[in-house]
Amino acid sequence: MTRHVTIVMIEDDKGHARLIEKNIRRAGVRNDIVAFRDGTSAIAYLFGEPGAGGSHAGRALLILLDLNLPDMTGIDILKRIKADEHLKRSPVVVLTTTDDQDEIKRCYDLGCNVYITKPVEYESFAHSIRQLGLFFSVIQVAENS
Amino acid sequence: MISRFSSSLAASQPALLALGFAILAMISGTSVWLVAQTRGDSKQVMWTLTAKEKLLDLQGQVWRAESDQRGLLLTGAGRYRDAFLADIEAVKNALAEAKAALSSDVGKESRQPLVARLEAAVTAELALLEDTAAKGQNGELDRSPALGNDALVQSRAEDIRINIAQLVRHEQQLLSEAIGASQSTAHLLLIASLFGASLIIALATTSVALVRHSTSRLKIAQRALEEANESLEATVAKRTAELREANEEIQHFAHIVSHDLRSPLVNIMGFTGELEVLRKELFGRISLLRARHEVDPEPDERLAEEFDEALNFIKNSITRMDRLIKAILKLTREGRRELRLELINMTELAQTAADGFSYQSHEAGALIIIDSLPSCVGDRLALEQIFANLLENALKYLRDGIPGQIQVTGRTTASEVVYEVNDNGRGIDPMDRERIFEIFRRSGPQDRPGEGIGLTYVRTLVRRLGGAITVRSGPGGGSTFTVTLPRRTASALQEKTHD
Repeated sequence: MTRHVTIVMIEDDKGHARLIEKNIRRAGVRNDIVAFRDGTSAIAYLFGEPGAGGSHAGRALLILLDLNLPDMTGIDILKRIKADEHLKRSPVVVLTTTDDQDEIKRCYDLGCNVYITKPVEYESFAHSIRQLGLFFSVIQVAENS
Repeated sequence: MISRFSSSLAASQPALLALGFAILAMISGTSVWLVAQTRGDSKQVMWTLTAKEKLLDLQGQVWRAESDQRGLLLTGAGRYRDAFLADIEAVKNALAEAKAALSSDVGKESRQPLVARLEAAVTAELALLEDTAAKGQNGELDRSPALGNDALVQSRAEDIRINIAQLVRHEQQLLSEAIGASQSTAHLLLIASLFGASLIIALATTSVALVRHSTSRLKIAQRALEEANESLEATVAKRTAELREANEEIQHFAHIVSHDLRSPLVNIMGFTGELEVLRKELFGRISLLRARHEVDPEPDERLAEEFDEALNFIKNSITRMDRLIKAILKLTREGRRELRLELINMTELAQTAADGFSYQSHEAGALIIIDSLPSCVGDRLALEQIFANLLENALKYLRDGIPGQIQVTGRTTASEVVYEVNDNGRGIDPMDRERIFEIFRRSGPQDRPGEGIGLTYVRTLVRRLGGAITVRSGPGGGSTFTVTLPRRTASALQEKTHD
């Protein structure tokens, strides 16, 4: 992944956010990480004030998304990203505690690119995130139009 | 209020009917009595007429005898004498007949003296007549006017006439009295009968009104009952829906809670892991420093041990907590899963479940026997889990040193299919027989692995299938788990699949 790709992390739990960041860094990913702790501020950042993703034109974003947010569900954000003219090609990684089959199906139906369940055992958690980081280092992200 | 009124009406119905019948019987009795009375009256009339006739006949005979006596006295002719003798006989006969006709019981006391007087008069007259007849026979008949006068003067004919007239009047009066009395009685009875008849009509009208009234009440009650039935069904449907909703809410709640509990757990676990990383770095640096300064390593090793002990406790607790939360999640997920009902060969299903434990049963030296089981309509996955859990439990809690024997049996009743899993294991204390079905609860010495979830899961599944599970056991006497499922018909299956 080229250095100019920005990782947008939408995760309400500060601890989770910190652990995710640590492990991504351990995988050698040096990209910028922009973290948001609620849906509203994340949407404001992604779609700009008028609600359009135009402000990110020419930039590449990768979105890490938790489903259980205090003010809205991550599904709503996923829907808006995939319906947005500018952001729809940005990869979305859903990283959440839910392993409910219906939820997983729904996310993929809505255009989510990767769905990862957070394991409770820290070894597997750290391992998963590091693997994700390695994945980040090889994937190509399209620039926003 | 209405019902009490109706019931009192209903109770009065037989009483009214009885009253009506009583009045009818009375009227009938009156009619019978009237007919008998009329017959008695006509008999009385006949009697009176006969008596009158006989009396007048007697009077006529007396007059005739007297006139023949006169003829005999005046002429002394033989033809008068023969007639006169015949007359005497006729008077005797007429007297006897009249007496017979006057033998009626009615008015006997007042008649008796009259009859006696008449008889006396007639007897005296007969004596005179016979005397005349005897004298005529012997030719001693004195036809002088004086003597004839004497015989005629002595005649009792007038006396007899008066007596007869009195008797006739007496009989006449008796008759009219009797008829008058029976007429007035008949009159009263007629009035009573008419009154009774009108009473019956009134009763009949009341009865009809009552019947119509109670019928209309019944109709209203029936309609109310029908409405109540309909609304009852609606109420039951509504309650069922409410219960289902409440149940779903609880499931949803449990799901969310267990989910949200996992989130902080990830942090605790994660930062514990980070602490471990830190520990390695920390103790690495300490040992470097120690090597440089040649310090005794023992206290550091003790510190490291205590550090590891604390970390291990934290990690083990979190792992256990995670398992418990996962169990709750599994239960709630099972509670929300949609069942797929199908006809299942239970012998095969139980055998497959037993085969899954062939390694464990071989290790434990236990034998699992599956009898021929009745098939049932149910959810395959749920039934597999039920039998797997029950068999696993039976294998897990066998007694050491006693070869385990586990038997699965089944039978059908009118409305249910019953399966039993019986073992000769260590048994369950009576105190724990309900407790073991509760989540995280286990019976006896806690010397086998497990979280106390299996039986809770089994009960949830059995309940979802509309059945029940019970256990009977004695400590050291083996246990029998009885799963009772409703006997669903093929049509119920069809309905279900068409939904």
